[in-house]
Amino acid sequence: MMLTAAFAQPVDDAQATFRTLLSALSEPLLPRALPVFPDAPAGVSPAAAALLLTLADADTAVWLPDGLADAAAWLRFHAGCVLVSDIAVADFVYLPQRSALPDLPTLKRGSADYPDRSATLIVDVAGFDRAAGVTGSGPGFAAPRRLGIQGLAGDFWPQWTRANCAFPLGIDAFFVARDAVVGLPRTTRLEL
Amino acid sequence: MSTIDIPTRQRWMRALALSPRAALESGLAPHLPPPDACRWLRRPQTGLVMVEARSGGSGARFNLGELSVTRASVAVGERVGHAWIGGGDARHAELAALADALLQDDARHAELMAGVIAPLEDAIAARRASASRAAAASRVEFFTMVRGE
Repeated sequence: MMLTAAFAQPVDDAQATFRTLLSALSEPLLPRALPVFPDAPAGVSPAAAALLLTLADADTAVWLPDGLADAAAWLRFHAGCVLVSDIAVADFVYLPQRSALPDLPTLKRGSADYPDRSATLIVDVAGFDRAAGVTGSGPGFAAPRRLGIQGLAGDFWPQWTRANCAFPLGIDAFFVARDAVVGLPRTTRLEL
Repeated sequence: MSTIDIPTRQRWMRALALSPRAALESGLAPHLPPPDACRWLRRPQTGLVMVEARSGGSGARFNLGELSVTRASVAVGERVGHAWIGGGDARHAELAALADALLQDDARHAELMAGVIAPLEDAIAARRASASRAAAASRVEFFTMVRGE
């Protein structure tokens, strides 16, 4: 096992990434370039590593798929977060490319009093295509916007719909591909 | 990972943390690895920790006060050295982390313990003894006077 470094400037880099993530959630389905990338451990893309370092801290529970022992040690060291094996209590769920899709409706969806106490997905995908794919509208859209997200598991969208059928309860997601991030909050209405 | 037990590691980490930076600088100078052999996992960062205490050593826990602490972590080869020191001296934390990594190396452990850590511990004990002497010299004895009735 080999620990690697993280952000070169932990505070500045995490703040710059956080600002990008806010923009990504306020204009869903619009790819944005991430400003800075950390040294990532084996099995985690640099973009996903940037998101995990920015979002995870001692107050959050993170779920990683099996087989990412290096990444778990790295995240525990740099973010100080709790790593959980029960996906139903996780605040952040990381899905590398080609990993099996967990049952999304079993993720934490918040309560009626606190719908914000819910899970956020961080999904590694192959790429984005603005000419095809799902169409979104709702808060953050001046006009409906299309985006194809390549490399998602086949039953992702049906599961996403079922996980978010009880608004305001639900889950949110970030998709990352190479240097870009796309936000998808539960408020976005999707036409598949 | 290593054959070194926790109390031994605590012993050298204590010596490294409680010694002045200049003593580490001079003691470690011949042993330090070249800068390109070190991977800094965590550059020195200074923050605050809350120091808790118990009244009388066994009473209820209370917050004694905040202490500024600097921490650093470095990988030298396969060994990862950590340092947490009181105060805001980044270089002190770097030196302590490097020393922690080197001391885990069985090949150099004995030499460093005898050549670096032991003198630091002696200096800490001497400082402590002289502080105790200074305190003892200013001791005031109080007597309770019993009023004659």
